[in-house]
Amino acid sequence: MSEIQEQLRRRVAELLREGTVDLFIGYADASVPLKSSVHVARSAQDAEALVWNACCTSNLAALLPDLLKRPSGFRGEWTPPRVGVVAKGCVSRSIVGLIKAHQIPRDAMYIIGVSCGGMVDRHRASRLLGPAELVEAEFLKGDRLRLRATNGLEREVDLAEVLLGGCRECGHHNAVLADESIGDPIPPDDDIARFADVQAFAERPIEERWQSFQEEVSRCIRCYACREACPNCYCTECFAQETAPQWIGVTTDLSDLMLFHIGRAFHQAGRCVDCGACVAACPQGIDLRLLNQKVNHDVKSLFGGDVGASLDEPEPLMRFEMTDDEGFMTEP
Amino acid sequence: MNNPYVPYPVRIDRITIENDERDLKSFELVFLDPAHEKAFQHAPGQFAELSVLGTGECPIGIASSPTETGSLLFTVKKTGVVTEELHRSREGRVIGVRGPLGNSFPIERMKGKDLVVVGGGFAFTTLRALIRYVIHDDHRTDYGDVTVIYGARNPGELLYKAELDEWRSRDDLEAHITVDEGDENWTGHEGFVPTVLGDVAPSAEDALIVVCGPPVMIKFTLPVIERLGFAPADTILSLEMRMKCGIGKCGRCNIGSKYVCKDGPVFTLEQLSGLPAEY
Amino acid sequence: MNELILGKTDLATFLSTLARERRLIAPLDDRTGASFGVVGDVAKVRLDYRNTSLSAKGVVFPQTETLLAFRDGGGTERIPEAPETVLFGVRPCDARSLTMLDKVFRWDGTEDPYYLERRGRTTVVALACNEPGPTCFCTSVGGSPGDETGADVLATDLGDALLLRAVTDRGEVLLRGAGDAARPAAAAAAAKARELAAKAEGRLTPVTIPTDAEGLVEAFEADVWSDLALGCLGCGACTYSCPTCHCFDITDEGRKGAGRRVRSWDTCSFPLFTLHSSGHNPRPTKGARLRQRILHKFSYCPENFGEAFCVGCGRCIVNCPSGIDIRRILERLVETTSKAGGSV
Repeated sequence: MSEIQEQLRRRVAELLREGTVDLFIGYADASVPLKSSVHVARSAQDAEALVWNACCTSNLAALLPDLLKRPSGFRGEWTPPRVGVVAKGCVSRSIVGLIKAHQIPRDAMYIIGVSCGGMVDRHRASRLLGPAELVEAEFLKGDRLRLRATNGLEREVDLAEVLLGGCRECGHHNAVLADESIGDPIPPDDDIARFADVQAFAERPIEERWQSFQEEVSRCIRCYACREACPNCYCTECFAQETAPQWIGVTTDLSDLMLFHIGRAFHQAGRCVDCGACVAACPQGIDLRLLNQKVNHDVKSLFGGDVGASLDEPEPLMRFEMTDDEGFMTEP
Repeated sequence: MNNPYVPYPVRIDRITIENDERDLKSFELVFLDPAHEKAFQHAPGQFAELSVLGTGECPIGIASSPTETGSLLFTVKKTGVVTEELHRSREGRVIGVRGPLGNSFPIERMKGKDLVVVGGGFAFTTLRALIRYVIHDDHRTDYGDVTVIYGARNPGELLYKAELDEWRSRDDLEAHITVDEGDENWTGHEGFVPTVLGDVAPSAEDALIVVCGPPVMIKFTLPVIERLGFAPADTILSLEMRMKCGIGKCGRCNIGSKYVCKDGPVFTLEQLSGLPAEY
Repeated sequence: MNELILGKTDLATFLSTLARERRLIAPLDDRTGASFGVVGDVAKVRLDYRNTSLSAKGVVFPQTETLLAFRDGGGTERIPEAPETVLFGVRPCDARSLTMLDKVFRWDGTEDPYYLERRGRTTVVALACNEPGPTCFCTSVGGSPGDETGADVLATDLGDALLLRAVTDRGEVLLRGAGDAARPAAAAAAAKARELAAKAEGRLTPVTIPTDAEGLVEAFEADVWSDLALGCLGCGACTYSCPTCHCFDITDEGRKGAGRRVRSWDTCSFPLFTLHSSGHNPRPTKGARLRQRILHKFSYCPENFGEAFCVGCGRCIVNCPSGIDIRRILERLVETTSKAGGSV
């Protein structure tokens, strides 16, 4: 991975020097282990801070609409800046989705695709250390991770054990849309059982599922980190905060929490690329993927398709075939 | 402990439609409990949170002077969820009022001085409270000359039309009412407020000037005020901000370190120039 | 009675005694590490944690709180019937933050009865830090790992025992009710506690905090905010985990005839926070909103309350999805504005 990082730094510095891009969005080290920070490079020197590792969990596509749209109050002729972005598979699929939804212009972007073996779920990793805080994380050869806590406790694990859920089932390790690519393409894993955990959950008795769902969402503090981290949540007025009409309350009462998460999951239908940015963003470690993947599973079973895989194909819920399953109407 | 979040119940005694578009209405509110009326001693310039249980609250300037006992007057523009609900209300409905909140026009400092009151559009509401207070028999001799310049887009948009006529005929008050564009019946001035102010050119000597209006009017009026020689400390404005608690706790209405609900809404131009330009 | 020693083996008994007559809130095991909750089984209380993901402010300032209930046109206040509560095991930074919230909810003589009702029934037992974490910076903002500000009792973990020191009368009352589980502490214990606190202080990396009022005013106009805010998502993760953030919304719930007026946490990071019904927004950009957040804490609150509203707990750093570090922002401000800073 450090090879990709070196190449990335070099290429971004070149692109900035050449003026191919006005700014480049990527990742840099954060102050906290197993996290990265969003980094903006405007000069070749800025590019030196760019990193590429298994902590790059943010979906950078979420930042693009704001960067590429006319600033509020701006009058007169305005052209968007040329923005460069480093895109792993899921990020590139989000970019494809945003282009198709007319939220960002393709020609204002320069995409460097990178092949990605998966990102660490820092909540999952932290949990291995109990209540002591993770103070250091070191990536070791052989895809291992050594964790050290504030009280000196140490643990070594396989990376595979602590990857984000979506990364464990990833079907797009490489960018689907890019102006250039870095890193050897990673071949697809055909024998991964996708949606296995959602299916397993669905088989549990309904009282258990209801209990589990309540426990998950009752942790929510309505910070909307999940929503803001998600490239698909680009609505200027979110249903969760509308007042005229008011769809749900703004409180942390269980009913409000449930409606927010159910609402958001359904709004993702046919658009979620399972990047895990929401899970990584949540300060409360809520298993948001459970709901989103359930919806993803339903969409896949009913309508097929591969979200964000191609600029030419409409997303599953943006097309209609005469053969579409209508069981939801006839056998609800 | 007095609970500052609990509104006093009031009955809508009278509703007056102030303009042709019917999106400006004046509400005369009467306290259900006389003890509440007694506790609600406000000064001109202050505001209150009008409460509609089930809908919400909105901060509205008090348009009546404390000398007008028996009721409170609020003029409300229909612009959002709560104001829409108020506009849908009928006379007799019981709503709530929480206040008085904020600071007031500096009526003490104004004593012995001439007063120029400049208003535009529906920002004239608290200026009405001020004028009514100053020209009241009990106070009139405390103040010097009073000049009022008030304008609206057209005659239909002027607030308190009956009162304006009454003021124009008084001799203890000089009222210049203007519209941007008159109609065939209009006999007053025709011109923008800043222009009329420049023409009237009241003396700045020993005088204070109060100005309330939409941002564009303020923008063009302030240079005229400066040209006439009014010092920033003697130029008084009233600001608006999105508010919720109205008592300086919810953190929403600040401009720098000042809260518009608590340290305002009345500010002098001198105070404002010391605050960040974020309003 | 001022200082007691409590052997760790007697901790459960001590806590059970407390829990008998009061609601005991303490750090409990949670998937984020530890999280404050009402204690059922005292054995589940964790003291071996650096800090919780969310602060303890919810005990006195709940995220959702009913202000009024109304039915058929009439409203009645709903002052909470807060039980006597012991908030056990908060870090000194969190204990200190309560004194800041006190200032806001009492400001200028306008008292918030909801907050004060809960606050007046809460006894705070703070737990000194022996091992600050890499994101802690309390000493840079006027606190310290052994600070007693805001605590009724300060506990220090001496290894096999806790030293419990009554700081206030309320704390004395609490310790008096502890029964036989604890015994008077010897001078050596207090000395050990001081030694641990000094050692902990030494482990903190100082941060330059802008303090000069003029420089901070200059900071408003500085051209740094849009870049500093570029990665900011505009979510509430920092605000809602912060012990001193206190902004709130008031909304009405329910249908015609019956419902409640509720206050809930809000954040200046949301674009909607200052949006006028006319469509005008005094803070239309992320940069303007980040500026408000930072200057409110480090400029406006010092002016209004005499101190910066930051206790250096580092939760905003840990929880920011975009990895924004408030310490880097503060350092940038000191750099950018010629006079802004600062104290360390």
